[in-house]
Amino acid sequence: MSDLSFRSLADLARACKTLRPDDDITRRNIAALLGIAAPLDVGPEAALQPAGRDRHIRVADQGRAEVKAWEEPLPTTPGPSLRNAPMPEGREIPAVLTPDPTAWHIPDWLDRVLPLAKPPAVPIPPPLPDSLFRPEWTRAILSGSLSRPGYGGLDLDILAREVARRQPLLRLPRLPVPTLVHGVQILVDRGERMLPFAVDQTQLVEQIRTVAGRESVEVLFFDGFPGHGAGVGSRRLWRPYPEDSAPRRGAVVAVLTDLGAGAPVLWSRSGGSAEWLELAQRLGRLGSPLVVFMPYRPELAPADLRRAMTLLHWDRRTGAGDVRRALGRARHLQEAAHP
Amino acid sequence: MGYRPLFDPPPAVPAIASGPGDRRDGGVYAYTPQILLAVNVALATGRPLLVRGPSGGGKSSLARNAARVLGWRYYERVISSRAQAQDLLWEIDHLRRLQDAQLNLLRGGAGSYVQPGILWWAFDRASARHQAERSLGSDEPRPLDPNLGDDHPRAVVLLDEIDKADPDVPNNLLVPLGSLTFQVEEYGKVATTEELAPLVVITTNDERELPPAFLRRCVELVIEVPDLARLDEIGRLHLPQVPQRLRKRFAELILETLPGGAAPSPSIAEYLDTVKACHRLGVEPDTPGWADLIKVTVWKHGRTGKTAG
Repeated sequence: MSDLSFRSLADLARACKTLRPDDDITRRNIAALLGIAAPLDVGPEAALQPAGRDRHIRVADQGRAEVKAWEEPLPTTPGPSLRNAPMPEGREIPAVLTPDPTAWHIPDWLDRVLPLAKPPAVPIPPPLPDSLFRPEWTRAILSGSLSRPGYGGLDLDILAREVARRQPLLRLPRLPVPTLVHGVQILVDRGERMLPFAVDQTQLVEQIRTVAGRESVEVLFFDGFPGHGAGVGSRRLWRPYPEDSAPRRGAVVAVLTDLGAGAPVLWSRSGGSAEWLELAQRLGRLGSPLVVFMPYRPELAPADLRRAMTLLHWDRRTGAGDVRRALGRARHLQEAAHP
Repeated sequence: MGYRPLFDPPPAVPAIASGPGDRRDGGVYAYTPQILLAVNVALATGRPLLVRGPSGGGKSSLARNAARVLGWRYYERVISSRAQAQDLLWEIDHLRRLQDAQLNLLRGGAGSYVQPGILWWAFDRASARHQAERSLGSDEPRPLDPNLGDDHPRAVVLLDEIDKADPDVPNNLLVPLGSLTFQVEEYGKVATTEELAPLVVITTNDERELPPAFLRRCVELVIEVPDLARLDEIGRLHLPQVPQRLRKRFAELILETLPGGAAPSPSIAEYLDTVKACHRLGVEPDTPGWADLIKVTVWKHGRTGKTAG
């Protein structure tokens, strides 16, 4: 019922009344275009011609003549049929079922199936697992969450309104233009809780580099909480953060962590809420907002953290609208905390 | 079998000449039965036609060609990240109002400075023209209807790449597109009738999700990656001067691109560019220049294929 209620049945009725489809396949495809039903899995040219036109199925690359669609009915007997063998007279034996060889039906499409391609000379690496964000939305999510307001052109509407009201212009109104020019510092949690997401972290780092520009992205690693030490290479070389590895002024700090919300592990170095809060405040004073990409629902994070930083659910269902809401909520709460 | 079409273009005639860049004039279009049905359903229901599919696949040119076939007016707007829904309906020229105020030449309230957007022109040309004239000074040239198509009471509107817009934009278009009416501050109501309703074509590359409420009000067409026969047909229509063997060779080359990689599959636009470049530069298949040419036109973005160098 949810599918049916998703689109308007009235549209379907109107389309059918106007276009007068005279077969079920066309009706089904009209419903599919309106989101009410799944399209019928038949060759599109088999049914969707306007009335009055000759209808053909073109068989590509087979050197065959065009075949009239209605001359080739779909198989009605998918497998061998069984029929009763004649009952011997005077004996009570159960019926023996024997296959009827004339009922075997090899579908016509079978001889049009092309053989599998030969494997390439150079082996192709196995595909990466699906990213946690929907691939086609990833760019919009990352550019939306990691950009900061930049200086655009003059906002002529506001300028004209203020001048018309004879208000003094204390600052020139600018159009808000989001920009990634300030760069991004990525903090990757290599703690045990995040081990299941190690490949996803690598993928997301690459995607951020693609969106923000390789030279504008700095990557540091930490275990559980960056304040205990962060850096690159061996953990022994990690240094206190942010003292020794502060982000560039204005750069957004993207943290790939679960904030301790994942399954408990034997040994965890996750920071407590107070530590994360203090870190967010310190970065805020440096002009760098904190954006956390969590593989779990942000509701699992402590409430005070949700108020202090932007938490994004690193998940397929997250879209640009969620990013906007999360950024707006964080900004609103921060303004309320520091009016 | 079939249906009674409202939109039934004649068989496409190959283009006489091909221009540079993307062909947006809608001169030729290779319709499939699915595309035809989608346009017909959009016309029958009065709903916007949302066209999904990879870039360079013929989403935008569909609207222009449909306008040509129907003989309707045609308006288009490429949506940017800064576009707002109101820009498509109307705008107030604050700067002109300020200037007039400074010169003591004010022509009335803010309503005199309202300029109609493309949906206003598409919904009700007469009131849009009246408002455009009202918003212009007497010393200025006459307003130009942004119509790019024929002169007809009805119009086709293309809202291109709506996924680039702020997530609020589709939601703010729900009422104008759903009820074919909208309210203009300082003016009043702009509305159209079912008989004069425009065909609104909206394209998306799916870079952002669209709100369910918006999707609910659209007829949705997905333009799939073409097969060999369709690519060859598109090549024949757009580049009839190119020998068929060359077009087919390139079509096969495009289709052998291995799917699943990070790089997007080659588009129809790239196919046409490649064929055009090859023909104009006189590069023949399997000559020394051939491999270099396909490297810069097809095997880019890290794409791979059987013949990739």
